[in-house]
Amino acid sequence: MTDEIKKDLALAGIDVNGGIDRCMGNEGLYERFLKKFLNDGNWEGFMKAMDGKDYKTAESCIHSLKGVCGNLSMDSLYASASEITGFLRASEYEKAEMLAKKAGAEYKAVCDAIKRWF
Amino acid sequence: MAACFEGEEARVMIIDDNEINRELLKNIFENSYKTEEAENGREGLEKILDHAEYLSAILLDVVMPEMDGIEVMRELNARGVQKKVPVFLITADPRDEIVREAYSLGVMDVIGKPVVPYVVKRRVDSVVELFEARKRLLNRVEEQESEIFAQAQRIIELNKGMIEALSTAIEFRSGESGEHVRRIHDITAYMLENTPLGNGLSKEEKEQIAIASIMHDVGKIAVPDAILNKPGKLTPDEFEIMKTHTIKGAELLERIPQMKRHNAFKYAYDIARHHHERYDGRGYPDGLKGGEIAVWAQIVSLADVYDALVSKRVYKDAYSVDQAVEMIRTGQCGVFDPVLMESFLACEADIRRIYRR
Repeated sequence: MTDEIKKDLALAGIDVNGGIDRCMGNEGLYERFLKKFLNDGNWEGFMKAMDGKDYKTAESCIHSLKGVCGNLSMDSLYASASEITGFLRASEYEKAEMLAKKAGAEYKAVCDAIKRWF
Repeated sequence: MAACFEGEEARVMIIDDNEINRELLKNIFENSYKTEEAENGREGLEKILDHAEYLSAILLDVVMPEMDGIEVMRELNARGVQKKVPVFLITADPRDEIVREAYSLGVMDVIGKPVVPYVVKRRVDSVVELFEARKRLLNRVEEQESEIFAQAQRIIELNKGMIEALSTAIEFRSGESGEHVRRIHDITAYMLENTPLGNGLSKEEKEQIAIASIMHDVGKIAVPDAILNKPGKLTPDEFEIMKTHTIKGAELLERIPQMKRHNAFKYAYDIARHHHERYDGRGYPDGLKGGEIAVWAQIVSLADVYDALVSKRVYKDAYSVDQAVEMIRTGQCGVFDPVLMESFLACEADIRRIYRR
């Protein structure tokens, strides 16, 4: 993976080197995971549940998203997803909704960056 | 499903609903383990229960559809699986109440997501090693236990063999074969096992008494051949010497340190010394009467009389069994405790079988 790609992914909040480390140095595997991430339905599931005020499902989806993007070193999205999980668990739905907007932008940036290169 | 569990290589079961998470863990472990995967708690539980014996470790996510990690853990705990296969909870948020419950259900370790490969690997490896060492140790202890048991059995057999050899050698002098001591042993054992006479005695005690009965006449080694094998009636002086075999036998046993330490010693001593006492107090050497004579000495005394009557001896021919029983019952050959007599008569038909072997 070139430095150019790494830099671009870093702008989207992805720590590529951290992700590759987590794959025990297997860069190909990490790339495969990034592509697979595009098919992860948790963000959509989260948004849909938030719209329908189904906070229990929303919590479960955002929690799963948090786990995956943590493992893939998508640091900014991971941080937001963690925070949202905390708010929903504490029934602080307004705070969760507000943060969801920021997370949505981060999620889009991550997906766009991945699509650009892979 | 069984096909994917062939062989007995070390396996790690990865249970997580997210494919990326599963593959990431698989990548960490596949160099040293075979991996199995399940994408929800229910599937994972089924695979574990089917093949627990092949698993080295279970990596369990918490939040999953169908059945979550804590529910899986409850099922494993109910079946004691976590004692044989270490379970690791892999969770994105290790909340206090979940971690606490997980540990109380027997989870070995809780590992946070995002995972750090060398940490996960290290922690899982150490526990797997611990479990394997424990298993090896347990197997070894079991092996050793059965070895020790077998050795103890051989020593007991050897002891019994030595005792029989000694007693038979002594009986041999009076023209007896080894059969006499074997029959006394069998009759004694039979009566202790099958009549109320054995009440209150443990299985081990009964066995010890039966072994002790073999040595009832060892004192005869101190009686000269001329008296021991005299075909006719003994003179009063000769009879006095003959009577000393009881005391001499007890003394002999007491002088053998190994015998003195033997669990059967107290019975052997008692039997050797008192197997010629009589219930009415007119026996020898101590003139004990009634309940003063231990039940084991009384049993051997009766068995000895019975066997002497039905066997041919230098000084007499064999009586028929019916005659022998009649002579004992009518008190022509000694006086016995009525309770002992009753027990003997009740099982005498079975005792006859000992002679037909």
